[in-house]
Amino acid sequence: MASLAIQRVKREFKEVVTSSEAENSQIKLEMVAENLKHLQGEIKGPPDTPFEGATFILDILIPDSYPFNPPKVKFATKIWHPNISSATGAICLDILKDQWAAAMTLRTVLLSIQALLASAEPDDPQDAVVAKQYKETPEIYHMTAKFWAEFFAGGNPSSYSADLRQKVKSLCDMGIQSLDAVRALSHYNWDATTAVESIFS
Amino acid sequence: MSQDDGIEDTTSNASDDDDDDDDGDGGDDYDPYAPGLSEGEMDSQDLGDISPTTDPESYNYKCLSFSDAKKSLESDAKITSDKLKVSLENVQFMLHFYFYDVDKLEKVYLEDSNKVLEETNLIPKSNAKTVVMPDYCPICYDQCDLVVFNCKHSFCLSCVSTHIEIHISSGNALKIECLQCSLLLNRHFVVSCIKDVQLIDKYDKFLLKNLIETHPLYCWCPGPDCGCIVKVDFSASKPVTCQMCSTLFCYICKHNYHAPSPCTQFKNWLKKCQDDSETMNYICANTKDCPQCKVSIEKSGGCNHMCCRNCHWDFCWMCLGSWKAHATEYYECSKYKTDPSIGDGGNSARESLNKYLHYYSRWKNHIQSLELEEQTRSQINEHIQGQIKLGNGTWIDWQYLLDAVDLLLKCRYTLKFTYAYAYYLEGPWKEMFEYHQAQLEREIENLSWKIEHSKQTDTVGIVKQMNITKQKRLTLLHQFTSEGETTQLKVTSSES
Repeated sequence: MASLAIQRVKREFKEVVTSSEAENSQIKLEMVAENLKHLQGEIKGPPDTPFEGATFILDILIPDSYPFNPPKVKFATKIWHPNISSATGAICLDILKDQWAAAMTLRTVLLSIQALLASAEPDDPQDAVVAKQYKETPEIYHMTAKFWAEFFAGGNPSSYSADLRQKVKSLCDMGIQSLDAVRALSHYNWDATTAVESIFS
Repeated sequence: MSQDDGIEDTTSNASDDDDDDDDGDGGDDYDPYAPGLSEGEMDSQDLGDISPTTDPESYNYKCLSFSDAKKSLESDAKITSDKLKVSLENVQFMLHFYFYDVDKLEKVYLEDSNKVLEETNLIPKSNAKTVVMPDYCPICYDQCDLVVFNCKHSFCLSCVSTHIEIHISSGNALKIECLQCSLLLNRHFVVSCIKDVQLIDKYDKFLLKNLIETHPLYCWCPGPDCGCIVKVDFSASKPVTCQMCSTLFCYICKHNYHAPSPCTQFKNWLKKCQDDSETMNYICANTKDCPQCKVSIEKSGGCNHMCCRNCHWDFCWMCLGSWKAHATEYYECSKYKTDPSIGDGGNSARESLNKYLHYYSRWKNHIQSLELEEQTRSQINEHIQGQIKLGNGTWIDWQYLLDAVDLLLKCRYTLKFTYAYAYYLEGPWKEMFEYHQAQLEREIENLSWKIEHSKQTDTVGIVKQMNITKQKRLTLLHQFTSEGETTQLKVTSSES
């Protein structure tokens, strides 16, 4: 790894750790490998969003050409959001692609992703299913996103979570893996019959 | 340069063609498809006046070296540069940004020059925040001398150089931006930052490459290791023969010249033919063509908002529509999850396979014939040398025979592609085409037979047959490439 990349990551690491956001435990950065190539980020779901109270883990890979090329970032925690793939965790965010500038840092990346959670861009979707739900049935989207945050990321439970958990459980009783059950139910707006059909077809 | 060899003289041959039916080889007295004319009349009317303007294969182009192409591009841009009073380099950037739509650029620029300059990132954005100059480089955090850009962002020279080097080595010379905003760095500055002479050379090559790849009137010769650049007067699916490496290709798709088949059809046909090849399977399954520049793109991850690395066009991976116009109507996309051009599968599969095999076997046959004909050429060459040694005629006397073989090769070449074309045709147009195709095929076989059995200087028979064959080929191309174009559009390709 190029010396500049190491130097930068070390410094940015410090920047994140000492930042005011870290103090409020909004963001966090940890090393996965000693060589600073592989990092793990953590962001808190922003308030007044379905993600409030939840903690999301991010997988960060630093390329050798960093900071001239952007870091590769994806969600390790499952999340229901129009700009993040519900299957792979890939993020559609311009600064992680062609709008990256060498002057940006891991702190700005983490904060940008956190901001993305607060303001989804359904017109620039990564996950078409989620984006469709977001636009057409916002209340179902809100409910689903909140459930995913609770189910996968330790978010605050909501009034309807018991109801939804029951639906997931009824699918699991048929021998379906819980992740597949949540996915299918979310995909079909929590209609259990269609969800089961889609899994067995 | 005109592509055709010996086509101009068709006018003088029109009279020969009138005895078409009398020479006994043709044998058909009635032409069901000639609208109220006998064959002789039809041919002389259709082809008697073939000149470079009506000849479907005539195409003006120039083969340029690297430096000539650079000069040519610059002289093109010079006109706009003088008109708009903008530096040549900036005009080239702007033209690239506007996909070489000179009229549009001039119009927009004269309306609001600052807007265009901002839009193309040649000047800093007017709404940009004021920058506080730091006393250290924001990239490496070293306290050292800083280079200040027009946007007032500043960095150390070493970081700027690395940034530029990384962009150049990844093949991007056109869009090297400031390290903090999207202001473009100009050539003068870029070159001043690079110490390595080879890298400057590389930069200039990529710069020209980037410009040419998006320019509608320039292209690289697709011949292996040929660095020749072709410049045309207008972009069309016409034949170009590279003057450096003699590669014959279609200007639009850069594949082998494939008349009468249109580019997309021919590309589908090739895909189909190489179905067995794993690479093509992979390309079909995993790549799509950029809707702007047609380069094949593999999506290896990330979201559906694609930005072509070749032409920097933003589009949607799902529906291949422009991303800009796309934002409001993206719901259409979820419908196109599977590529609609990938076969219908199911019941008609066997039937369509049979149909395909019919055309494929003929296509393959002609490829083989073409190879055999090339052998014939060398045999005939030997035969001629032998005859000349025996004092039987001079080299000039035998020249017609070589001309005949060349014509035969050219006709077989076209015939080969008629099968790719016919595969996608339907309805009455297909009947008409197959009639012409059959006629051409028959004349080609006649010519082939005559050449093989011509051990004497029997010029008359062969020259006559050459003229007939030449005419047939042109009739077919004329009918099915220029006049037929509108009709072709109606013929939908049923399969891929």
